[in-house]
Amino acid sequence: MTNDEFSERIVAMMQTLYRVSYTYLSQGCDREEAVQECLCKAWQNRQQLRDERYMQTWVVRILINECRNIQKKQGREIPYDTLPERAAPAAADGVLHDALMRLEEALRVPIVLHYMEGFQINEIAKILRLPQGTVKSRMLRGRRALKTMLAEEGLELC
Amino acid sequence: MLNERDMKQAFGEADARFEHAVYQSLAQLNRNGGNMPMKRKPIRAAIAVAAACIILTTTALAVAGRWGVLDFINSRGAVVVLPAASEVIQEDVPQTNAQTDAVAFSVREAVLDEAYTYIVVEAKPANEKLFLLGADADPDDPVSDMGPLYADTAGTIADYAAANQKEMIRVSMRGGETEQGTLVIDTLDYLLEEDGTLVYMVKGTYTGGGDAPAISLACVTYAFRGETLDLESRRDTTLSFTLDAPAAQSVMTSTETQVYADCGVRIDKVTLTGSPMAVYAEIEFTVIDEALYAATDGGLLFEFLDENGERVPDGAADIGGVTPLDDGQTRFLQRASLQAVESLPETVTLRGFNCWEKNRYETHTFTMQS
Repeated sequence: MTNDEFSERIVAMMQTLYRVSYTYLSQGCDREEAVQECLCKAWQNRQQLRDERYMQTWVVRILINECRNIQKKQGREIPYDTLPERAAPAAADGVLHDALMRLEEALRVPIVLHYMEGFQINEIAKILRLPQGTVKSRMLRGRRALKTMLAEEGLELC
Repeated sequence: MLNERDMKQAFGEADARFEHAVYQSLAQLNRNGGNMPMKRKPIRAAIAVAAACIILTTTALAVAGRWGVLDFINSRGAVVVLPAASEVIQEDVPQTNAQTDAVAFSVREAVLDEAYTYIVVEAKPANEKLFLLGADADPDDPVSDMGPLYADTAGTIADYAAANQKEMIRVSMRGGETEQGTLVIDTLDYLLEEDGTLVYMVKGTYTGGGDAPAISLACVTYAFRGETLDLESRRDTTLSFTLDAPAAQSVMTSTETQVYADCGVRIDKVTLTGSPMAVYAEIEFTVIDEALYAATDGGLLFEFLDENGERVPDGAADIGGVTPLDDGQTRFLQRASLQAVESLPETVTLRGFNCWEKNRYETHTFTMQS
């Protein structure tokens, strides 16, 4: 893969990279750090990607690892419960944003990967290194919780 | 009823800063010909601590304040080369002049060691008003990133240039191709010396041959308009030079096979090539269980362990990673650079590990033969 091809694929993934990093990290500077680390590692290790069709899955997985690394660092520095509640970005759907943010992370991530990014269960299992059954059950629980929260706001989940 | 499109609006869209972070990373790849997607801070941090390392090291500097191959290698701290390394480094490198209107390029020192190059290139500004920036440096970066001389200077590069009425010029380089071979750059390090010379350490991999291998480096300069790179100001030149053919090195090989059942592969061959600069290692392996190997998600690497079970430190070359062999599906080659040793070991111990999850697989010992 040439650097031009790599760049084109990454630019096409811009919104996915943003949404995935947003799922984990509340601070913009942390999301920027995560994506830069992710791109650096993806480029350096691109020869390990055996099939370019799976580039998106592969890059998302690297990004999630980087987000988790940053969370670990923050965990040492800032008590999690002292972090301020996250306000929805200007262009976001505030109701949906708040409902997703109220979900615990373990449930939120599979929901985001499936419903926003269109990944299949087996792909999510690979990205998160979880058995498919665990992914399914977390999605089911997440979906139920989300449905309840949205119903309170008069919205329905498809 | 919410659908996928509605769901995508939950977090809004990537903001300008996020997009800038992505584009900046990608631009870094392009600026360096796709050869050096390295994070900036670690590169510069290594350079910034170099002064202390040099004071402590017992390896002599070529000339005080004038960085050579060994100075750059020593600046990485724990990298070990043998005393004989200073004898293999060429100081008088046959070369042709290369210059743009703003910068003159020349090779200060170099060595072609096995297939790996260590080349120190000087980029001298045409006049003292020019302030040369490395390939990944931006005007809004701290000027302290430009090397030990600036370590205690506050402010950005743009601040420094404005305060000293200097004109910023970005200098970058890419590996080139000659009739005899091709140089691919693995990493670039740089710093500014007292007279304003930007000095690059170019580590690369050379494929080719000949008694006096001809090598070329494509050198590019850009001026800035304000703090914005002026693409119209691009100037190109080519630095061509010849190096001594690499000296014959000691080689040890193992064709003993060992199965790493945890990760579904078999090591077929291990080769070590020793030089005063480093030990270069090659590990050939074959996938024997596709499912187990697939579970590593391409993260399988092998690490060399010493007699105490500790990982053998990296060597001077910045190489690594796995490349496919043959059909690209079942056979692979891992390259690595290890610290230099006086004599190659008669056995090596290799442990599999997953660079994604950091978990370890089995460990096997191989008997090496000359």
